[in-house]
Amino acid sequence: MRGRGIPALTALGRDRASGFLKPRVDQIRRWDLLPSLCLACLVLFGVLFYVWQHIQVVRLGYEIERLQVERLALIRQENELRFEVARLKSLRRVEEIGRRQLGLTSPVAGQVILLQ
Amino acid sequence: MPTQHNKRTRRASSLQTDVKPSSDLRGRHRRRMIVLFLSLAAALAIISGRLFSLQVHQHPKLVEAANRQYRRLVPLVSRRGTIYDRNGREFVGSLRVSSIFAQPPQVENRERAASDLAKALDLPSQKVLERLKSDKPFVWIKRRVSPEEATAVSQLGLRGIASIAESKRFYPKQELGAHLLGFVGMDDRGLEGLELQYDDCLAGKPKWVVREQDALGRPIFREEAGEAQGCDLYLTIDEVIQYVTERELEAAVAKSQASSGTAIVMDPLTGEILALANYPTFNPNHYAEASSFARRNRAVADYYEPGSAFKIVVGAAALEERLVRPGDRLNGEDGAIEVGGITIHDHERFGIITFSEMLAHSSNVGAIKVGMRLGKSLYYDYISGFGFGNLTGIDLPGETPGRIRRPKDWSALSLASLSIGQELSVTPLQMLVAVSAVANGGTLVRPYVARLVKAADGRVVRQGSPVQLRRVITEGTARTLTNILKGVVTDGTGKAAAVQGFEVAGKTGTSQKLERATGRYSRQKVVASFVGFIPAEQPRLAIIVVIDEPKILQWGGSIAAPTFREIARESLKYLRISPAAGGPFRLAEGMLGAASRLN
Repeated sequence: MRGRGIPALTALGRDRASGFLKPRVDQIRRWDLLPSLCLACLVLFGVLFYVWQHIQVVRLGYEIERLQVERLALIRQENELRFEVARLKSLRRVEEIGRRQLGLTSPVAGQVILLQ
Repeated sequence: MPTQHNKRTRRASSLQTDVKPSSDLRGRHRRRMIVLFLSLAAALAIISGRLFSLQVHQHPKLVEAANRQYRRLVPLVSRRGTIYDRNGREFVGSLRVSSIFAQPPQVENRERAASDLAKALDLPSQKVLERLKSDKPFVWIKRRVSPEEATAVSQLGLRGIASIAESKRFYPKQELGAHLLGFVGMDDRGLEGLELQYDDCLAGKPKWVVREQDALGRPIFREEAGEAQGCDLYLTIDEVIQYVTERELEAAVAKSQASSGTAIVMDPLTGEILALANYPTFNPNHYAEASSFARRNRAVADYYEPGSAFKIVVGAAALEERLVRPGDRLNGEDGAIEVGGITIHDHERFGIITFSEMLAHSSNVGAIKVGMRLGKSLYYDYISGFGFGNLTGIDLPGETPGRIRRPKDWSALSLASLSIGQELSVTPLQMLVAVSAVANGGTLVRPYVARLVKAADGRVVRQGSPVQLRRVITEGTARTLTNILKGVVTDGTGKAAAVQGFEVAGKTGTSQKLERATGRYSRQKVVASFVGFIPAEQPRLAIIVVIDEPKILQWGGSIAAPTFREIARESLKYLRISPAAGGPFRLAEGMLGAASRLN
């Protein structure tokens, strides 16, 4: 009897009294927290997705830059080769090779027949 | 009982004391909560204030600072446009090469570095050392080095020595078309020829692109801009005809031991220049090693007295004015005539000759007599009409209009002198344009070299097209004169210009050069020339060959005419023009219409 009336008035009593209600309250709160948890997960997922996408973009940026440098180098190389071909096809050089190395001569009149 | 009462009393009092501290605690908790709330509110207010300051007040400044940190404006060096011949064969292009520079304050052990660099770059060691000892923060060691040299320097790994990419103009055909193409300076700007004429377009505009970079300065993104590039130029020049012209001209200069020579090939109907050559010439890849004389485009920048070749003009004027007919007889005066107290001789003694024979055999006496019939004013009008004394308007720099005095300044001898191509100076190009007017039926056309100017994106910026300046003689006169000029090659002084299977119309010229020191005509120094067109009845090519100061083979007919023949023969063969393709000449319908509108 001693502990029934008085404890309700003391802090200890209040704690004890609230101890009886605790499991029920926790159950209710757990269900209440679910939407919040879902929302938090969604937000977290969104943030992670944003960060992942940003990292991907940066990574691709490095890759694009590397490929662009490679592309420019290839264009330059192609340009150099084109001019090397032009140099090698120089008529003076070709004629010299034809005359000196291959023993070719210009055709004289009568040796040229034009087909119309 | 008292004891029990006392106990109760004590308990009650203890209860009283228990209740009292509990309310204090609650008050204290509340105060703490209030303090905590206020602290948090204050902290939140401070953070909000700071955020407001950063996001609103300092926003522009901070955005700019951030952009500065990770966005960089980088220049794209513009690649100078390519020059092609009329068939799209590269004449000139630009290559990306390295230039070596030094930052002298950063260079360690300069003597050693200078020695290594000199060895790698084939430079005098002392010269490199002088540059490395410079007080300047930046000095060039060697610009536009070969890839091998750049690699050698890179392998040295010297501190304070680095390379930078630059554009280098490259002329793969070397001397071919050098005077037409010109060259560029160290700053990649045109200094001569087409490089100068179309410099703004060829050079293009420098491009700037935004580049994003990370904290280490590594590029992440760059705006898609490709390479900055100038316009491409497509010429009317044909590489093969240009080569043949240069080859034959060089051979003629060597054969006659001349000081120089010029040859031009043009389409007389359209004014398209197919070849333009001067000898001596130079290699534009090493233009600094050539003399200014070799670099000079004498085809448009130098003038000469055309001599007998100018009789075409006096003949055209007299025929047009109906002052003479091809069969009219002229007295050759046995090869000499006195005008203004001066006796002018012929190269051989002529008796009675026809007007056609006068031109075919190049009689000075006959030409002077025809000139006299024309009179000063009329003759001057025709000279001007054919374009002498004015620029032809070709798209090449440095063109000179030549020299022709006005009739009021003429002496008693001037009309006679002008009738035989003296007392005036013309450029080889002017002479060719005038003869082209005879070839195409009487219309003066403007010569041009750039057929097409294309932007880097393929857009056509400028298109060269035939321009008829004016009609100078009627088609009938042109036809009559053509027949007479054919006689020059079949029976006259220009026999060496004959091309088997084709009819050639043309005129030789051999003029004495004026000695500047004495003011008299030289007996040794002459200019030998031949100007004509082929096939005579349906002209495809107008060609002029001018040989300056030949020491042997001094006549136009003996050195310039054979050169004309070789250039014409090879060019016709290359163009697949057969003798069977001949026929009556006529201008294209469009050109005739345009010419009549101009009249």
